[in-house]
Amino acid sequence: MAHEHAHDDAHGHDDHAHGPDKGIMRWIKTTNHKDLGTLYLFFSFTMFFIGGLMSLVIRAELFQPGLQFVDPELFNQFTTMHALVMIFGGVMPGFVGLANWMVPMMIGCSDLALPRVNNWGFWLLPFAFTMLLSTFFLPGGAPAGGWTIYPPLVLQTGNSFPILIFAIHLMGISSITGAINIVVTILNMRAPGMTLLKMPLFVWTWLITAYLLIAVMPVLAGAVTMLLTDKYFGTSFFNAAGGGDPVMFEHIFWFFGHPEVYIMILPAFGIISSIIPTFARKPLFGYASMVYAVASIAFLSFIVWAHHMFTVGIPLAGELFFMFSTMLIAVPTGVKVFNWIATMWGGSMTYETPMLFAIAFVFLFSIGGFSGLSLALAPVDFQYHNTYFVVAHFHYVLVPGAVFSIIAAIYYWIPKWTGRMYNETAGKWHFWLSSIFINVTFFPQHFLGLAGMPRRIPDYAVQFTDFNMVSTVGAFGFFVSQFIFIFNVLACCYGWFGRTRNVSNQVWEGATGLEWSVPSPAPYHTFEDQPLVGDDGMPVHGDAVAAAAH
Amino acid sequence: MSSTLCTRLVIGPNASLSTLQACLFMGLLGTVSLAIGGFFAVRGFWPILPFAGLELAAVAAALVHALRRNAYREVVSFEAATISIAVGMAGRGAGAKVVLARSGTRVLVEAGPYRNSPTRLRLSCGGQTVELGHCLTDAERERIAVRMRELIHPGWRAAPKRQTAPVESWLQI
Repeated sequence: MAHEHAHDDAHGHDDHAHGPDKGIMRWIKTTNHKDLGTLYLFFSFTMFFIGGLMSLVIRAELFQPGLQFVDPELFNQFTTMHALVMIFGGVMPGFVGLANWMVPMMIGCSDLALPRVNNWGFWLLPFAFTMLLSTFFLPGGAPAGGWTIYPPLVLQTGNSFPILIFAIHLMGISSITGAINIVVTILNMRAPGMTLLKMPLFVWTWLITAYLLIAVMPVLAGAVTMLLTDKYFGTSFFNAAGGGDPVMFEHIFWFFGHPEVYIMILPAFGIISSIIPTFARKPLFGYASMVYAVASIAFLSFIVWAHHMFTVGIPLAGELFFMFSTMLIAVPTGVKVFNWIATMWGGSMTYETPMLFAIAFVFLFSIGGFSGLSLALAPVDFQYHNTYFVVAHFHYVLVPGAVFSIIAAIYYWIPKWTGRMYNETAGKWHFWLSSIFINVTFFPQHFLGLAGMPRRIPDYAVQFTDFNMVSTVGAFGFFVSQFIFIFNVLACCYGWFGRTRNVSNQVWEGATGLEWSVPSPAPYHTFEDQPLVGDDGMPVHGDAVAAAAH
Repeated sequence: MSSTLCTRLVIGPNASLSTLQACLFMGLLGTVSLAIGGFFAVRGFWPILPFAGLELAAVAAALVHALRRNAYREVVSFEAATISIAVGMAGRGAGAKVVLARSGTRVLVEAGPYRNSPTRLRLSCGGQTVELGHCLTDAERERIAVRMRELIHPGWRAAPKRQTAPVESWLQI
């Protein structure tokens, strides 16, 4: 008796092996992970553009003291919406788009586990953000209480309040569907031979990110629902007059909010861990320690939330606990930075645009990390809290951190997606202008914060003028320099300026992994022939497959 | 003709997740999620708990869906005179079984009904047709069709030169 086993991933959608539909219906009905990845990325960049315009209004207003362009109420609406749009509309969908494109290709399956859910999860987002942005035109304007939506301030919001809550719920559902899809895909649809500890770091970081999302999203959903019932249904969860506790909202919000910070940065670690070995032409130093470091950071993210609220008056023991647990995060983060540098050390380095952005990430994210360490010190935080030092800190983590990693990822993988190489000269111009202007924008804000300038104000004392002017110039420069990137990407997508599809499968000399074994551009359905993954994480071909099969 | 079993093909989807691993993952997630929801519920902030429950139910549904799909099997047994095809879920016995005469069975790989739709692998005997390999890719259907033609090999022709091992573990991936 002989047994023959034919294995492949099953497909849960009817359009298996169909080519794409034509016209707009392709994008509306698609269940293909590449199409949805593209949609997520276009959506993300639309949101970055809208959020960026809001930031320009903010910076224009802050160019000099006094009120120039917007009244204080509208200024507060812009600061609130800028954060919500950038976090939930820009960074998170950007990473989900990259996961959609790359996770199936990296683990050797042809699509995500739940393709229809994937389609639904994406199409919730445009509705959520259309609703959210439409609040600018409602009586009372958009939400203006800050993205942290602290009561009782946020309960003073006008007609836009229930719309804000509904939009947050929709964003949450979208994130959860994406997270569930990615978890099931990674756990169940890895190609034969692709063991957990052979998975690329990007896949690992996304698995852990998805776990964090699933664990903390109910906390946000519950928190905003309680705000809604407090305002409209007479409950008193956070209403002190009714026996509630407004400070508990801060605890609950940051119990979600701090893991959310890592949700926005762990996939960036995965991207950088993919790019640096490619351009250093060396395997990633300390792969296993990188995985454990990411898992440690995820664990620690659950027990540090109160460092956002030292000043509300928590007990000394609490302050000490949250101070030390926060500082502990520097250990696994240090492991990662050390490993990236060790990977580059002695490598045969070249400095193409993705690598430049990756190096900038390591350097500038570390600056954000160090200012974070300062903020973790409770006595110091009493001085820094609610100042521009905090604004500088989280923008260093999120812009040269998360956003630079998304940009690096797009430069790195776009030849694989489109079959066309981006323009390297334009890429380098984009890199240098972005890197210079991002520092011009945010570095002076450290000084403003240390000098005592509070955040979320449209007007300020005259001694803060010079640094604010510098910061505003930097913000406009950064925004304008992104058009180089947009044209470079669109030129790859549409073949502008005579760009032809002429890149090889591997694209980069030092690239390794399953995604580099498929043609460029990647076929609409990849891995129609299931790969067998060898010890080096690369597919085994021909006779070797037969030998392994028998 | 004797009914001695010569070769058996087992066709199933690729799956890297076992039931045990799925339970472990649910346990790890459920413990954390319910502990968080439970803690806040005890403090009076109960609306977090139902959201955690809903989300865990969604994760569980996705894992059950994946595990169910993993259990799908098509078993094609080549006996001396017949080919029996059993289709069902692993561990639950055959849901449907068809027996075809080996000498009259043809293996067909046909194009799908629409442009670019998947190919169809069929075993046809007289007026009876059985479709197999839903969970395979086009390339795999082609490969397995070649192997089936080798195995069906009509009795009036010489046996194939290829020697079949008594216990052949041919892992098609």
